[in-house]
Amino acid sequence: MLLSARNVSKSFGGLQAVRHVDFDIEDGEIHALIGPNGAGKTTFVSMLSGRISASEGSITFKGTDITSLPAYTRVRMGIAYTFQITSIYPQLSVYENVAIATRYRGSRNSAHKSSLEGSVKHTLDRVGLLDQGERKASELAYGHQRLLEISMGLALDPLLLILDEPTQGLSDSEIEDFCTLIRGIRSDTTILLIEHNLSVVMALAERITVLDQGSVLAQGTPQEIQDNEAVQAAYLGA
Amino acid sequence: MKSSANPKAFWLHVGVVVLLFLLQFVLPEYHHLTATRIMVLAIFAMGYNVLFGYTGLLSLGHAMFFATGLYTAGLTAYHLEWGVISSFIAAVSVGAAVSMIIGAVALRTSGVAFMIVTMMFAQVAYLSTLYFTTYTRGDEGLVLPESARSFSVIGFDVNLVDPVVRYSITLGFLALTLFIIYRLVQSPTGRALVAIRENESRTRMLGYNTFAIKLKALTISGTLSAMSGALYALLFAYVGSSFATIQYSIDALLFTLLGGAGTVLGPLLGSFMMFYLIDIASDYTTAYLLVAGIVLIILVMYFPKGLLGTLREKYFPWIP
Repeated sequence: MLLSARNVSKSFGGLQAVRHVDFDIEDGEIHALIGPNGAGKTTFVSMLSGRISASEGSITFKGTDITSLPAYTRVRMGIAYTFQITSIYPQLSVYENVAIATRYRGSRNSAHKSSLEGSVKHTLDRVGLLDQGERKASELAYGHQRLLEISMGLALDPLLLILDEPTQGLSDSEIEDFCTLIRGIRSDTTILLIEHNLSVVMALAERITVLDQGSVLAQGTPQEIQDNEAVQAAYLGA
Repeated sequence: MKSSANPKAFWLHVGVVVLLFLLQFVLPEYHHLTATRIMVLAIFAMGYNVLFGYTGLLSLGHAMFFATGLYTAGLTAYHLEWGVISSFIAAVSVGAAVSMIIGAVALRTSGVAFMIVTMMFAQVAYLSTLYFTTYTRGDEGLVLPESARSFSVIGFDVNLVDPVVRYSITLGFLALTLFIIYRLVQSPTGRALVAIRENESRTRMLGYNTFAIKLKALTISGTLSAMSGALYALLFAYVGSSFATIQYSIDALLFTLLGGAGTVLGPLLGSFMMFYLIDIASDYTTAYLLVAGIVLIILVMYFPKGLLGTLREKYFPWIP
């Protein structure tokens, strides 16, 4: 097991956003986390990545309890997080954006990572932004900014890549490119995908967890989730 | 594609130091002294720029760090009769310690709260200089005796009363500060400072301990400010509480904004511009601050990122 969460809850004052969630993600899988708006998906993964602390419960990563560790330590251990709202360095070049992310990259797949420049170029090449390296990040089209966001996560060479709504605002062709990218990187990293677009989820995920009102409603394969009556009633609207 | 130090940038900085070195041979006595004073305060502004220009943290309390260096050097020289070198080393060391301690507390806040906390700390420091008037003589200040301004180094007698010596020593420390900041901003730490300025939450989620990096920036910034204060005390032989007022914190901010925040040479340029703007305006009118204010407004309208910052954006992207 790569990451496990047990009895994780989060309260904001009187609002309980996440309630007693048990969650596991296995090494090498693409796991999707879905649920209606306000289900607590982003709050939950923010606790996994360390952006916010859990009110109760425990989180282990590779067998180590990381519940009380700060976000930057979790990143160095191999958990990368890409933001739901694009969060890049708009005034810096595309190259600089990835170079900043590359500093704490892991040591795996080091053949092409002997130098910072080689590593940055390799990462940009993977997401198709190699020819945009000199441009200021703010000048990129929105879809390319999303790709840049993902490339910053990839540059960390993570064991677990958490993608929070990565296809939000992308065109159909850009979504297709994104799916191709995810299939291309899945051999290198485990992926936790928080996604509203169900066709993307069904195309990529091997296991799905459904959150509703802060609690786990169902977990299983895409087929099991599609056949689950509670999910159909609460989320798929069937 | 790789971002690395541009040789033009290196030679630009060398050229500025050489220009300042040659300037002393042609400057009349008054401007010679003024230039020395400006260079000392430019070190202060350059230190301030590490925190404000590169890290994006607006402090209104940097006069405290300047005054820490000023008073540590001045009081040890005046009351304890320490030599120039001992007083200077003590001032820089105390400055580093104070900025690290203040930083560890103040950096738990951000934005407006950080501005206010630093200002309040500086106010405490200012009031302390008045409270301990037995030692500091408050507003009146202390004048260091001539005996406290000479020392020997490897057999050479150095007298800080000599304007040429003062200018040369100041230029030496200015060049050292330029070198430190030039190297810093191109180092991984320097890039991390800019990353924090541009997007701190993103930087944290890329594995950076942003608190530790900001503390490092504040310590470097405060230490350079204290060094400037120590130089001022020892070179000009005066220590007074007016240097601990908020006016000096704002001066550092103005010099930096005017020359270009986030550029290595900007604060130096801003210091010269601001000094001579007031100096020239005061030759013509007693309302010289009004004139200075109008000129500043015009400059900010046409050079919103400061003189050097705007030039970098429009024409010279290689300027660090």
